Amino acid sequence: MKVLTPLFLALIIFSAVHAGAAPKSITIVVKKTSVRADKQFFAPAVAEVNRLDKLDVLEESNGWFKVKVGAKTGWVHKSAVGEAQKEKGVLSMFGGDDASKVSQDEVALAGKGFNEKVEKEYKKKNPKLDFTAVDKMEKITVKDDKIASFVKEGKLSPKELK
Amino acid sequence: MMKYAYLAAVIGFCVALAFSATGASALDLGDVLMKGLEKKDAIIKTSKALRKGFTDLTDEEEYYIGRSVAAKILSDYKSVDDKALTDYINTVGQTLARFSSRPETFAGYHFLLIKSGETNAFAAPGGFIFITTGLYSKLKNEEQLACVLAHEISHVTLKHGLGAIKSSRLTEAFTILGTEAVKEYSPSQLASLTTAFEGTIDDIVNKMVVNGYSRSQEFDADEEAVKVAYKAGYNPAGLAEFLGTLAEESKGDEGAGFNKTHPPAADRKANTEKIIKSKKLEGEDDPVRIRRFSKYAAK
Repeated sequence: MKVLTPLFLALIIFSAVHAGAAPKSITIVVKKTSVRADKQFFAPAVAEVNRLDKLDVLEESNGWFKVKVGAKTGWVHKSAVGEAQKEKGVLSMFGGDDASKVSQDEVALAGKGFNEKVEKEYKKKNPKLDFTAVDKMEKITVKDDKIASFVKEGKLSPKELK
Repeated sequence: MMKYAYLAAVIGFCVALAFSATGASALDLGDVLMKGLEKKDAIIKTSKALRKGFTDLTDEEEYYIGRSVAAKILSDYKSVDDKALTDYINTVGQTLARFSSRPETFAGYHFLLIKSGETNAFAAPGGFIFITTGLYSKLKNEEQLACVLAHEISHVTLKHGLGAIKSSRLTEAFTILGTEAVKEYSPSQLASLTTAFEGTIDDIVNKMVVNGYSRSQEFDADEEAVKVAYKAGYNPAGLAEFLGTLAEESKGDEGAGFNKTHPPAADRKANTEKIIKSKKLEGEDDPVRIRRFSKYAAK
């Protein structure tokens, strides 16, 4: 028993050290998205977040991150989150084997890449292209509650893959 | 007293053991943390130069590429001005997108019906999806519409459009971006980047509209579409049925429109049926959806 005591204590302290470092943060890489009350798209939104917002992660489950936004908590889907951050926690930044992976938010933070400025130049070179029609297309949106009632009215019963 | 001394020694030993298990001793943990922070800083400074292929493009870059590809398509095809029909197609599409492997893109998915007698559909990167009136007129029910949209959504989620970009374009663009230390581009850098961007758009449009995706990419998009439709509650057999219609119609006319840019519809139909059966993804039509679709039948 006396031999086991140090090992037992080591285990507790080891867990405590790791528990202290466990929280991760994620960065939003889509233009805007909702933080939802539950981990599903039809759940009501509790907050709106925007590109490059950094959020503390409380939990990760089935492709969703439970995050803190001010005093509120809710869920964000992984597809709205930067690639590298969702794969590596804060700790792995001190590790290293995946440290060379490019993070979307790092590139986005630098304000570089194919962006609005490049599109503007491209438009100048190709004045006949119809970007007004693209802007109009982008304005077509469908609200969550409309989708939810469309699903219900059409008797669609979502299923999990077998 | 001896007991406390023993306990203190044990705790000291345990703390040292615990920290050493994390790769640091208690004494130099601060040093490791500092080194870690420096390393993170270095990653940020050099990450732009590390980008290599299309999978390294950000969601925002994908969006700007998609917008320009969409602008090219909308310069050649006019959209159908029917709000109710557009809303219906978008509601079906948005429902499916939420069950895809990538429910969120930078600015979301948008669907548009475009005027063309050809039977075709296009998916620009980021989620700009087009179906022609020629294709829409051949759809028999909501399941078929859902499956066609799920197929196009799958081209986006599988990044098939971005995969068409020649690697030399991205190498050129990433080199320009990686060597720049400040946020603003110089005029010559912006010009070079715009040339790379222009080539990028041409590569994707050529693949989508002229040459078509590879046979395996189409089969992958079909398989993904079947899964997405099933998860949303649609009957995935709608895809096989629609491909059956195309197979019938394409007899003797294999070189135009949809047939020019897609593998034979009969092969895709057989493959889709095989996937549904082997993965047990059967579903059922519902009269409610049949009636709903008939309200928006081809005009």
